[in-house]
Amino acid sequence: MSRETIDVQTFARNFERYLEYPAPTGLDVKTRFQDLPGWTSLQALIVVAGFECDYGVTVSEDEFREADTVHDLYSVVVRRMAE
Amino acid sequence: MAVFSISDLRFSAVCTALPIQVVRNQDLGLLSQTQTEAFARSVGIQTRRVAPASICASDLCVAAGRCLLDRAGLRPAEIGLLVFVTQTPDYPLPGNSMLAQRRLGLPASTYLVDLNQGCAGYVYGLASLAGLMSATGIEKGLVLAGDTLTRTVSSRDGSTLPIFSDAGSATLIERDLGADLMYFNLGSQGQGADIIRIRGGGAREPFGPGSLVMGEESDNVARAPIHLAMRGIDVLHYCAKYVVPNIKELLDFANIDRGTPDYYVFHQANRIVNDCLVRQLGIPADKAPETLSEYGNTSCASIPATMCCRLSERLACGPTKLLLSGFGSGFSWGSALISGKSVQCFEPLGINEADGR
Repeated sequence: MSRETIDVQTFARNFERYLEYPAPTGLDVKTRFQDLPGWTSLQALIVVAGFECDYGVTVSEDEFREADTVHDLYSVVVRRMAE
Repeated sequence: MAVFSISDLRFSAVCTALPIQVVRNQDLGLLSQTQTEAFARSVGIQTRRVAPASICASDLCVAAGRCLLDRAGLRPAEIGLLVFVTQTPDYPLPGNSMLAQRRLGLPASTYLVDLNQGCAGYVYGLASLAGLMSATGIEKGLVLAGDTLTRTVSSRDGSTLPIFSDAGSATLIERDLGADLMYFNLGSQGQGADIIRIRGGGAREPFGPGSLVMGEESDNVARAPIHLAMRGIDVLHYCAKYVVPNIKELLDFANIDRGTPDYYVFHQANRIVNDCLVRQLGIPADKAPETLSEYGNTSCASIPATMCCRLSERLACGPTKLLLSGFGSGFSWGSALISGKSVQCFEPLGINEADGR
């Protein structure tokens, strides 16, 4: 899968879906995901598992910690897929 | 690369012992109701077994070992080799193998080995026992594998407390000329040493007043240097990177395809990791029995516990090919391909108190 096949908006919708996070709060690519209500290390693990399922890549704990927004994670996943 | 086969040995019996105390994660008070529900759904653990302070890994494993010897009709003197796998030994020294030898009444000539391995430890224990039996000609050997990891986690760590559980196991391997080959594939990546680690209390950071000082890691994670710390994302990352290729390589080495094993018995880490393994291997979910929801993560005892709880009838009644896969602290991983003609899997024992020391 190449970068062209991952739309960043779809990536954000998938992120919501992993968390079973309702859309009305308006999660988008600029959302600082660690500020989401009830965010814990479990949510992080669920999101990473979702990446593995949808994109066939996993990210490391350090990569996840360094990411701030949903778009940051999108960039990590795209980079991983290109490797 | 440690991929190899061993001939003329049979995996013949396995027994598991669990503390009788059942702890429900919903009663911990550490997670909100919503978080508890999300945890049960995604991580897959609802109840765990927790040993009281009087019960250590040796107690659980010795109980399983006694049961196995009794039910298999063996005398202790027939056991020539014992491998004890644990990361929660009763004492810094001597090793648990010595304690188990005394309590099981094994002869002074018994070859004793202690292995410091975590969730990959069952496969490492089997491989070590089989390799040593092959080298020495010893006829019968035991792997005792068990841990009391609930002792090592912080009561304020929402990332570990609802996961870990206590259990012990005993497995018998016997010489059997002409038995199907046993296959093993073992690996480790020391760069992942801090993925699952207890930093304090060893020789590098000896126990002292600072060992008990709690640090706030995040909203629901607080722990001290003597507590187990786990980087859950990296566990998943390493499993995807190393465990699946390890299994594929073993199957290639044994010249069988992924559909051939009747069951894949994975270490019961958490549902997220185990679902990832099933998906990446492309095997049906019902080929991967689980005990997570009931028993949680019992470290090196999770594979034998799952065999005893989920596969005992099948294993008793005919030839069965099992792919066993463990992975965890180290970071270490290993897989084994075992062909059981008729493996005796005894129902799990419930243990409430230690039976003699």
